[in-house]
Amino acid sequence: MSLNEKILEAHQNKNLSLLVELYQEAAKNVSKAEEENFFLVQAYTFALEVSHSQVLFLRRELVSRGVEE
Amino acid sequence: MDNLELVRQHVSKANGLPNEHYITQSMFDEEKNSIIFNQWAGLDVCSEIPKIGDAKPLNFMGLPLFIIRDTQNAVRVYQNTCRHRGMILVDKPKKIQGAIRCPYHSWCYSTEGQLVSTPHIGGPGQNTDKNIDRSKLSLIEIRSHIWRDVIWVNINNNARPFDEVMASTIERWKELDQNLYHGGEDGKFSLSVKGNWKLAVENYCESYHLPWVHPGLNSYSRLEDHYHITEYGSHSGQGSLVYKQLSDNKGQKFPDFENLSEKWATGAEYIALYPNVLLGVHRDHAYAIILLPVSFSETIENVHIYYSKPDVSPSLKKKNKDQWKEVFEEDIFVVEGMQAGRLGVKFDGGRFSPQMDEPTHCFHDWVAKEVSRFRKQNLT
Repeated sequence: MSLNEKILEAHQNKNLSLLVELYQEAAKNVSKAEEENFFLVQAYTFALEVSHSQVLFLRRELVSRGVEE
Repeated sequence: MDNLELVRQHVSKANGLPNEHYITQSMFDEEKNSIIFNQWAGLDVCSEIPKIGDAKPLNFMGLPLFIIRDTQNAVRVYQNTCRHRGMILVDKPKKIQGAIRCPYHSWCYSTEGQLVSTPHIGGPGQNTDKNIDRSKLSLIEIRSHIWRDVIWVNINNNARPFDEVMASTIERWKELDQNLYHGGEDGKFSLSVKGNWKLAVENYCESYHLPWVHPGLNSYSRLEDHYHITEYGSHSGQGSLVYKQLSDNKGQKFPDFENLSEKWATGAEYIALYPNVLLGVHRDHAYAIILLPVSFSETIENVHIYYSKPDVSPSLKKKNKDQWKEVFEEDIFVVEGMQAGRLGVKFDGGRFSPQMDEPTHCFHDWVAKEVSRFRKQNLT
């Protein structure tokens, strides 16, 4: 199953914790900063919703990239 | 003299509220604004959201709200509307684990109401925009107060402080102000009534109907064992001098609240706290009924029963619930019958028994006073 298919399935199953992981993985698979930021924002948003253990890490990462307060 | 002035005369001379207060959308809307949203009204009970993160949406007379227990264990009430595109945020009872995420564009709010993230607001991968000040886009919190587990709300944020408005009842029941333990699934039920919400209040206030509508109750709690509780401008109800504790086949009873005075050995009191909360207290249990007006001719009655200890006998608890349900169901035909009767175009609001109907007149007087005040304010 491709990463894209895994993401779609996790959305379908409302597996938000898994989405946090998968969107971070997606961020690693792209080269442009804008694309990375997009996927990290996706991961961060679901991390906020489920109070994921990665939430602070993701927030710090986005702040350091200048895309989050 | 206009119709509302007729209502505000002495009980011996007054007429009741005119028909239009029961059968028209315009009066339903006016009362919503003048006497529900301007006062401290009952919304729900804290026991419905017992754990941190529990959230529940509610429609309160057309206003979308949700209640939530925040990370500090405080119960809060918010308008259930995202500050972005107005989307409903909480569509069913759920556990909020972290942030409240809008399902539309994923704006995220803390359980304390702050807007904590605005994904992609500045374009893909950019969560900020210089024109968007998150601190000014918190959830809209509704002024609320907790007393006897009831979540009271003052939607228009203009009432005097709750403790001030309800001071006399708080003082009256001071010794009963103890921990209340909700009876759980066997401590609650709902009734749907095809009647205006005020008719449920009126019927609750008075004991006049007991021998006719509740003959079973009247067999031990006779009409002459009751007294009126009437405070014009505030609340009304009735008290009983012969409360009899429920017991099971082993003679087991509910444990009492602690250190009560002799009055409560056989005493019970039932007060309507205007506009829409009906409370009952006894030595060993209490209840709260929250009336949710659905339309001018439909009301939901949510009943919650409480005990002095968390682990009371399940069978006795069920027996108590069934007993109260039977009593409240006996009242339904009265409320629905009065609603139907209000379609009689020549009905003049009715006359009161000066001896028996003072608690009901007290409520009508309050409604008339508040509606008149609202009209005068809107004219100026």
